[in-house]
Amino acid sequence: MVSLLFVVALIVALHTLLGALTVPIYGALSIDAIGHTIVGGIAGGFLFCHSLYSPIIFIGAIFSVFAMYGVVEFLKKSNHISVDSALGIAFSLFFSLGILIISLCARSVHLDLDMVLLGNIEYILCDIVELPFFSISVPKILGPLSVLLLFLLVIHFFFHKHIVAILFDEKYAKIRRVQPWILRMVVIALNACGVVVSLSAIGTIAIVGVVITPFLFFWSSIKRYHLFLIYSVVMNILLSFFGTAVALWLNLPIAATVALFLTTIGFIFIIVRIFFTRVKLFRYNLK
Amino acid sequence: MFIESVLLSLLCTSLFLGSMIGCVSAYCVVKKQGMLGDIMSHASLPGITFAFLFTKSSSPLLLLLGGSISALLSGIFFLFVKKIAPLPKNGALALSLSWFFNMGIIGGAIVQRLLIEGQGIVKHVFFGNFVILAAENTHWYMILSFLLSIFFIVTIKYQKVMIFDEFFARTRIPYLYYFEIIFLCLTVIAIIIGLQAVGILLMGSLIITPGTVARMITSSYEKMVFLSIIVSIFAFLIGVFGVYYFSNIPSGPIIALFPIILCIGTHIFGILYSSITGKS
Repeated sequence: MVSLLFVVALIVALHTLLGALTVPIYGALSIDAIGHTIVGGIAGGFLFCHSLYSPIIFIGAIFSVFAMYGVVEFLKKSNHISVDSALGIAFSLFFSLGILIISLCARSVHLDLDMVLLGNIEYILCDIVELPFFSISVPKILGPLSVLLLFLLVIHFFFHKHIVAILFDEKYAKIRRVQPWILRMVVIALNACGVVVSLSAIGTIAIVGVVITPFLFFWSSIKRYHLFLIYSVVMNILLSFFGTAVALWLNLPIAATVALFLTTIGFIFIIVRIFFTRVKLFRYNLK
Repeated sequence: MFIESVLLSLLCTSLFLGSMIGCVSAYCVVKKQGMLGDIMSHASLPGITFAFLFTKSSSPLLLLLGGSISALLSGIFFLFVKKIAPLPKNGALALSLSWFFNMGIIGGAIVQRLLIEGQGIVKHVFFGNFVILAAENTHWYMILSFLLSIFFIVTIKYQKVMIFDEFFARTRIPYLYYFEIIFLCLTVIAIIIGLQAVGILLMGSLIITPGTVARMITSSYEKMVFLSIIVSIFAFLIGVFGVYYFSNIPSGPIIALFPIILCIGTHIFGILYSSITGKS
């Protein structure tokens, strides 16, 4: 139970922090697009190495996400294609190729599309490893999750001003000789890694739910980005614990229930907030 | 002989489905509602699973009715959230997608746990399966697709006015708001009819791509609808032959790939053409 909650908390924290970087730059649906694209990358990587545990799978996934954004940029050059359409076309290309490769070449191995798309956190908890010096068993997923989360925290801590400048005032960032393209590349790579690491635990569309909820709560009411990050992570982790409890109580899939719980609470919150603002009983504005 | 008759029936169905999806795609692309089509196709999952759960019937018409209702609700939910919530770009779409799709996954898990007979049909809506389409009474799909295509073609003038000059349309069409709702409902029905062939996950691509290819080739709306119909009919035909020759792959990705490759090819050709001739 403790390890389950710990894994849920780490995944939710990672995707909340990643979402706070990704959504203002690429939009909320880019997470969905990345999740779909990675299916193509994983399948392509599997074609090369014929093993599900090779780092080539990881490299293939990251490469596919970069290739997807390459296709988006290429299609955007046409005056007749909107950004959304370009994104829809690009991720469908890699996703279709991925399904075809899996259906044709990877039938005999455990590369299950349900696992890739929907995730199964219960299965992840069975895949454990013993720590060498502490003689305790922990889920394997904790290693890459912790490394990614630590890396993300370091980036947020040391480059906070640069990130804020790029997200909210790109012209000012360029004047201060901060290069937005570096952050864009880092965000794409981190998203790819984050989605690959947590894909088998929670599915792509559950990740979208985790990412979008803090924006429902705090996007228009918090004026400082670091406060937005802190409140978002704390709120998402607490709500995901409640979601996990509900899922265990009703014996439902954990990832989907957590995402549904988060988005429902977020939606109810915004309705209540608008109601109170309209009747001028309460003004919700954190500084 | 049996296989040939099934193939013939699938070819006919793909002609009708292709023409319907082509019309809807052209409309959605010009109206900039391509991603909404994608979200609505994903959002049909809870309707399908809960219709199956409550009725325990694998009748496709019943499941598709459930899917249509939930897809329509997702569209309304998106418009409502977009109006009231100050979210960053695509935030309302993402919220609608996540809420409805996760609800569908939970419904699917309950169906799986209760071991209801015939639950395989729910699984097939993910990636599409033309073979299931052949096993059913395809004439329903053909009739519905034909009627929808005819409606879209007959009302092409209304669409043009609504899309390109909304203010003028308000002065000319007395019940414009209801027309928009009718078109939204028809788009949902078209998505739901196409679901069994293409699947929930790739239906959105088929709503975006044929219209985009046509838009890249021509600026005239009538020609665009015609080209979009041709592209989607070819996509469905390739899907039928793909499933016929490679029986172990789902039809969705084969159908979706052809228009995508055509779109990228058209764009490359456009760039080469403009660099050689100097014309756009």
